[in-house]
Amino acid sequence: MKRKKTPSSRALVRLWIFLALAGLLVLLSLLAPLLCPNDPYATSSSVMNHAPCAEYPLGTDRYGRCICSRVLMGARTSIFSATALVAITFVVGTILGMLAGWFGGIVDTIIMRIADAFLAFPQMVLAIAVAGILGGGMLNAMLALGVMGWTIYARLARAEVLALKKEPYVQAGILTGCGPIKIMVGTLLPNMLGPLVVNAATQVGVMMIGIAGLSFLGIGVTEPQAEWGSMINLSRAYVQLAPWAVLAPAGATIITVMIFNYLSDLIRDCLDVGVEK
Amino acid sequence: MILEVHKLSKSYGTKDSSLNALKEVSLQLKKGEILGVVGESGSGKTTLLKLISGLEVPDGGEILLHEKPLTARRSRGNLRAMQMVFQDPVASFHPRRTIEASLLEAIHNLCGKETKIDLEELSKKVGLSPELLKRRPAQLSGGQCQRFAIARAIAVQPEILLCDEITSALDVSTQAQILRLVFEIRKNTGTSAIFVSHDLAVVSCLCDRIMVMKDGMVVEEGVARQILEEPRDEYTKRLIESVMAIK
Amino acid sequence: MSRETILEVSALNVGYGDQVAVKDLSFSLLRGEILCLAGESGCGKSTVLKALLSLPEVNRFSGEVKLLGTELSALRERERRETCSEKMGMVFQNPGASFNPIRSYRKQFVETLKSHGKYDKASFKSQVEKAFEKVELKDADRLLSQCPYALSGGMNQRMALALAMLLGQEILLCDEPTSALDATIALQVAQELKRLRDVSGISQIIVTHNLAMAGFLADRIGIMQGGRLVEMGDADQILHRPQHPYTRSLLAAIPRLGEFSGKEKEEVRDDP
Repeated sequence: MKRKKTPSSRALVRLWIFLALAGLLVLLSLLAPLLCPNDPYATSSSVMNHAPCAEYPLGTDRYGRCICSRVLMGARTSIFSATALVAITFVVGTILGMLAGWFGGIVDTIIMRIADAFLAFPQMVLAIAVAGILGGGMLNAMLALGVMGWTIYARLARAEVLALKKEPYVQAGILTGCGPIKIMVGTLLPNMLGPLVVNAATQVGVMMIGIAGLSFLGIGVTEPQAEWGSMINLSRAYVQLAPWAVLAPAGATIITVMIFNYLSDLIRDCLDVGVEK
Repeated sequence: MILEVHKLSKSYGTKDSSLNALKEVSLQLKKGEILGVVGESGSGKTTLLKLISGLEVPDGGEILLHEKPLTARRSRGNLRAMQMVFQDPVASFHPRRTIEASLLEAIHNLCGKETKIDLEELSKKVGLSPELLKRRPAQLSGGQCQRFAIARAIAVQPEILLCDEITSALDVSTQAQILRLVFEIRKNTGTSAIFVSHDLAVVSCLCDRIMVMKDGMVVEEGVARQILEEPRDEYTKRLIESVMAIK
Repeated sequence: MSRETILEVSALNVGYGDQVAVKDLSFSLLRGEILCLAGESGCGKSTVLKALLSLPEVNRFSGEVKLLGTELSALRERERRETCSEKMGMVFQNPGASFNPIRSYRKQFVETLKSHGKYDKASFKSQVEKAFEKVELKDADRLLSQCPYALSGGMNQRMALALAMLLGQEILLCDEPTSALDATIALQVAQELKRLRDVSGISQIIVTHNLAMAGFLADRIGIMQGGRLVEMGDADQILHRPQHPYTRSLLAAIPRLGEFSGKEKEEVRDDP
């Protein structure tokens, strides 16, 4: 019988560090309004494309708006919306996947064929199409990305359920009168969460880039709302004059996505050598 | 006759490649009887139990409990009447729950939430100390888990125990204890059992009647003594010969 | 008739990490003898085989293992590995364990023979046919072109035996060779093992939990419990006139064919 080992203390320490970092990012984005050195929406014709200085820690963009403030406000938009999107798609996808795996038959066929239909399109192309049709705006961008985002969790959840269904303790549960919902929530879900959560953590970064991408193309968040992708788009033409206007939001995106990606790796490592004693 | 199975069939696979796991298998079980089902891998004996217990739906045939046909959806009463014990004792309990929690869940599901049950008494009935109830399956030995699995099965007072290779994963001495336990349960409560095993020697020392299966079909069936002393089918004879008994 | 002692184990203490799994083990194996080490799970019998092969995962704390008069620990690692693999072959419980499941047997046989320096292109076919005959395998060409995954457990086990024959190993170490097989096939494999000894004189140490099979195959049986050898003797004596209480309780627990329900059995206590 496979005996699981406990995660090494080093792995656990790293996990906590990065969980703290991710938490810090979320906190920063929450407290953004309090931390902004300047008004993120205030334009100023006198300080356009100004280099970083004491008053403007990360310089200004071509409208004279403080980049640091906008990056902080953008954090709120990007991180929050990405996390919210992942949470929603996670719940919807997992539920659909579990139902498909457990009941099989026609339920499975319907859910999986719908998923297949969405997966037939390249994600960004579909997102662009949906966002374009619905018009711009954060909500529509989230919808555009979410329309396919759930399929990952659905497939994973379905596969896990199919495998776990064969376990003796699940069969014993059925035979001792546990209803399907009780088994799915009480027995299957806790044993499935590992891979699902790892995927979710990675998807935060993916969704963030997706939103940034849509905004960059102009069909996501619209001006003057601060969002990293649209900030990059806006300052793209001036990159030689004011590189900080592009580098700051780009750097913020990279760092955030990297933290979440590494976090998902650490979660996976800790769960792989999962503990239960 | 508490259980009758008529021409049960089951096949797996797609249109192109199907596996006939069970081909029109019939059997009968009397009250208080232990029926042994012997067969090698691929004989369909495990599939037979899965169909009888309701874990899987047959393609053809019917199962009658007290002369009433059983449908795919089993009622609480039906589930309570037939309880199963599995081959892997430790894996048949939820890994993260204590044995106590698993036992209580089974009893509350099938006998009603208000049912009072003396778990200590139940543990002693299967020969285990009640303090082991607080442990998780991974903290118990295979033999201990299997005894608790049997406890879980008999707690709801079933009429039939379905035993799927319940001693195959256990050591010889533990196996002997489990067989003795099943025997005592039958003696004390009159619970019938269908005992599936690949080991003819194990089946022969526990069962009243023996059914030999091969490739999804029943090859021979009858009273244990007769099957072993006067086997009629060639396969049965080969099976008996291949039991390397201590002479 | 005095036979040569080909393997001698004295006061062997081996284990994993710091844990001692086999304590103070002493026995010897004569040429052409089949010795069974029997016991329940965790008694250390598989560890004994690993120690004899000098596998790196097993630590030897003390004791001697003399193969054909040569003390194995006195050899340098490379020599020891070569000597072990030249003289001793291993058959595993899982018939496919020693083979790559998706590679043809021909390739694997050739490679193994080459690595032992025993491959001769010209005589390969006839050697294989002879070896196959000894384990009652027909149609050498077809079998060689098959991959392990396509054959049944019993067939794979016999291929493993055939390879051991081709390698000309004098001692065969078998770890539960029939436990994963159906009864009818298990009997066939057990018969092959016996034939290997009868026809080719290959000595064997067979580890098993199945005392009945030990009785069928072995000249001598050793009973192990908790890492120790509690009793060793002629098969007949062990099975019918056991001395040690553990041996007695083990034998009492074996279900006998034809001992029908209704016969009360000895109470065997459950050890927590």
